[in-house]
Amino acid sequence: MTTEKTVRCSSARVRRLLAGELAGTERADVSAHLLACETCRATERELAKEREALLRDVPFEVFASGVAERLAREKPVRNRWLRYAPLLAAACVLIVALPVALNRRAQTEVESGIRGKGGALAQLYVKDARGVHAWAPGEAIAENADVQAELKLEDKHAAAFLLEGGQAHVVFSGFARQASGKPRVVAFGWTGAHAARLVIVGSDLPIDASALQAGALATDPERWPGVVHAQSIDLPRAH
Amino acid sequence: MSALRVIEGGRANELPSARADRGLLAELYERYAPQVYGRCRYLLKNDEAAKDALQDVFAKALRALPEFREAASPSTWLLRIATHHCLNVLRAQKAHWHGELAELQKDRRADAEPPERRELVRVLLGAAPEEAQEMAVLYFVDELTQAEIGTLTGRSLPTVRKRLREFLTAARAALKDALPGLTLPEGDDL
Repeated sequence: MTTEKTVRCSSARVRRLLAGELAGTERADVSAHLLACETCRATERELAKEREALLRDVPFEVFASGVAERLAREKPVRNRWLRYAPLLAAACVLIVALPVALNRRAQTEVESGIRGKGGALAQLYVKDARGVHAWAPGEAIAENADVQAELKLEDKHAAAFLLEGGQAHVVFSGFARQASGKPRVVAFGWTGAHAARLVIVGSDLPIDASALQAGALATDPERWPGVVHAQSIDLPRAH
Repeated sequence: MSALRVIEGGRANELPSARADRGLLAELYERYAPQVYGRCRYLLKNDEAAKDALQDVFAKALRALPEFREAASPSTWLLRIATHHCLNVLRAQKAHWHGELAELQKDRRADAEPPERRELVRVLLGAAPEEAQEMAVLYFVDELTQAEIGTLTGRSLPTVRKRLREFLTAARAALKDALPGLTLPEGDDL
């Protein structure tokens, strides 16, 4: 039932009007049409019922947690991380662009305090009172904050060590990916005022973390026995 | 004395990838969730399935956020995703549209009223080929013009027309025995 020469009945158009997607002449025309057209006003009433049904059946909290759960279930793909950039503002930034080592023994020093052989082996996040955000190289970490490292290794086995205060701790040792195929995420925090260094290593063979821990402070991880890929990430401490 | 705290399980679900921006979600919920939920309920005829579908649709939308933001009409874009998703759910369930048509016929005899057009379209979707199903929803339910459908789906006008005719042919054949006397637009009317 068309009441205006320029506007034909369309539930999509009514939806667009009510969602604030129309502007200028089109908005004025559709608004005028809506006032005079019983069919389109029925669509408007139907939209009001849909809203009632939503609020009754799926309150915002249920909706938000359901969507978050589905996003978490997604198998991470690097391109998809990049697609999140607008949503996550400055989050989802790879640790640092490390030059790919053509020679496995080549070592690269970068000003950010990250060095190693191989590409970026982990993506780091910090969880503090403000929530979770992507860690930026050089960013100081508060004592009560957690660090989360999502491992990006292609190797089958991985280990992570935290070197701080003259001690070497094993944070993780095992398969680089979860049984589900998803990337392994290791999380930790450390007490005290010392800055720390996170060392991530990868190998196609199982890693003897205890043996590496014993000599961890004596040599560069790139030279650790059996290690194929290694990366050291300096984590400054906030004061 | 300092000490390491290793957090079991890594709290992977707290990573930003698993978190949708709450402000954005609240806006999407307020603005678009009612109509998406309405579409899911309309197509699936099951509130529980519709709730799941609603959340699936918004997770898909967030994964394609740049595309969503660039859409000329975000509501139309979202409804299209919802329609596509629900039609896939119905196909996966091998929904028995024949049975629904029989129910419609029974109700009609009782009420002596023709079935509501959108309801008739919904029941007959299953009789039509896949792409024709989506085009039929865009045309008969969303009431988009063929040109608008072409723009939205990236199909040429002749292709849109062809798919709509396919839907009508399939729908007419399904109705022939079940609801004789009911008329649908002729293909030439498209």
